[in-house]
Amino acid sequence: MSEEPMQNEPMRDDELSSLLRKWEVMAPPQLESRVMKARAEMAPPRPRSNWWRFLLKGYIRVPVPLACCLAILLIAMVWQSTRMAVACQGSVTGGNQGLAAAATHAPAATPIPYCPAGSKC
Amino acid sequence: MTEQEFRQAFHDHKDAVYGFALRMSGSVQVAEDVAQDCFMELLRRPDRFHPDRGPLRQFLLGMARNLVFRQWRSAQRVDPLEEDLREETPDPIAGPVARLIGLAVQSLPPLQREALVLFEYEGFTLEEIGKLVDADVGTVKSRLHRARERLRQTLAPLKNGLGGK
Repeated sequence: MSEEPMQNEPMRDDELSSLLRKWEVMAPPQLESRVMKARAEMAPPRPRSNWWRFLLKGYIRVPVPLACCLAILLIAMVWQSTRMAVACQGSVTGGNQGLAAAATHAPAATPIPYCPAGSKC
Repeated sequence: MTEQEFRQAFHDHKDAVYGFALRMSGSVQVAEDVAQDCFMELLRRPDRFHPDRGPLRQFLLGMARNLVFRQWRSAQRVDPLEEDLREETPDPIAGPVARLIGLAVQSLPPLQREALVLFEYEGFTLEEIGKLVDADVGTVKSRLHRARERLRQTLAPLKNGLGGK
């Protein structure tokens, strides 16, 4: 093919261009729904971090061994504190009386006498 | 890339990307697949687009070009009757004249077709086309010239005097 006509050819051929432009192409409406659906499947929108929401509805994953250890520790602490409370009550009320008895025989509250400032009372 | 930016990019360039893919492949199905893949790739790896190397449309059309050529290569490997397959799904909206023009454009060899589509339909300059298809301006000009020559002959019945220039 000769190079001569190519060199002389104008950059625009309006007649041919106008004819070619009769072939118009527009993206079909279903393309948008298709792309947006693919986008949604690819990256589901992440909810914004909200501490209040997390405190109300959030959850954390705890490994089972750690959960067992925590449960045992909790039970031991409750048992220990209960034992100590019973021992304390026993020593205050004289040993064999129970909590109910301790409550009934508790001394009435005595008013604290007024001490003026500077006095030795 | 935020959802707003993505929607804007899609709205601005969907016709160009889809149109390029359809004019190159001649298949609505392929054009839709290519357009979807282009935008998904933009979403997946937005860092591949560098504004200093050219506008977003150029980047998307470059990606569409690669996808169309890749699709051709895989189709040729799988099905040698790809030409028949392309004719099965023409643009259903196109009228008779547009359909004839479409067939004439698709009868061009791929590289000539590419130069013509980018120049005539996408409004690219020879330099921009050269950059996009990785060829020098002289080569692009030559392809464009040959494509026009062929189209003048093919489309001569549609417009009197077109082939006799």
